[in-house]
Amino acid sequence: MCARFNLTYPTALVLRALAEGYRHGFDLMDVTGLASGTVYPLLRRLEALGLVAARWEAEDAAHREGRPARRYYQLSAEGAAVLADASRKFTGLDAGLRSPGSARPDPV
Amino acid sequence: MHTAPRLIALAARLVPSAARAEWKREWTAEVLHRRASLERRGAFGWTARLDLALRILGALPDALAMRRIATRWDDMEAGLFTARPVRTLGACAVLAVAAAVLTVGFTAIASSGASAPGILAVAAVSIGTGLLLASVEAAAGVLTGVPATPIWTRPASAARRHDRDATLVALLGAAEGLALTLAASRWPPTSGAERILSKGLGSGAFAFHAGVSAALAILLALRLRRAPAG
Repeated sequence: MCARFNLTYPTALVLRALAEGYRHGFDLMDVTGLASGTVYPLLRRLEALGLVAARWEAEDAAHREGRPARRYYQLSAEGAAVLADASRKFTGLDAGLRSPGSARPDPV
Repeated sequence: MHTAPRLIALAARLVPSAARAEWKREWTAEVLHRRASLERRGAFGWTARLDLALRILGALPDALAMRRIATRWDDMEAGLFTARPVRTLGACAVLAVAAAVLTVGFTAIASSGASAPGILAVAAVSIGTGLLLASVEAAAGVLTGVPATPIWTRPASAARRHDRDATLVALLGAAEGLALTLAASRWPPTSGAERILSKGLGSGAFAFHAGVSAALAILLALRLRRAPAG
């Protein structure tokens, strides 16, 4: 899989954050420290490559909280395999994640 | 924050139409959620507002990424040829004919000695070659097919886009061949350097177009071999 695209550190960081349970775009920005102009294009590319799957959360649950439903992202099996490669390539990947601040991982 | 919906709507114009509604929905939901969360905690001061504004600016590169991915040829998987074999073959055939017309035309004119291509025709060759390169890239996209898992596009609409592109490639190739042959017959060279340059470019154009036709034929043969059964 790594041969299909250039596995960069920001990509690895996003994959790691997804594995940690952070599933929404703005939350991924919080824990990776990457800008939205980096995170979102990465997510689109990862989704196009099948490494990440995107879904909408349940409407009724969101409306109970008085907000529109958000889109969330999850690692696919292939994405988990790429993350394993990334962990070998980029040591200290966990240290690259920031303390979440307002973001918190969603129940997986 | 009243500018947030406007910024998102502006960026949304770059997103392919099939994906636009969902894309706007996603960004709007994230912005509203973030704002509501900060307001609940009493933390929506100027710093937080600035941070949110900077995040919203990321909608523009995201919209560009959406467009790039929607039209990206090298991520596509097999499918179109088996779904539209006649039309795909037709596009290749017209492109090859256009290339053949160009090479035959240039060769005939260059070898006649009567009115060899002039400097304006040389310029036309350069532009025309660029057009042909673009046509070949589009044709390669036609040959390699549509995405197996299109992002927010239905397979039917993606196939229609490729049919349209195949037709456009074929017409572009034919028009380019005709235009360059006409240009080559119009202006005689005015200096020895122009004659050398025009004959050199003529030979180069011949080799290039022959190579393109061969490459397309090989690519098509490879696609035929890799087409899935059923």
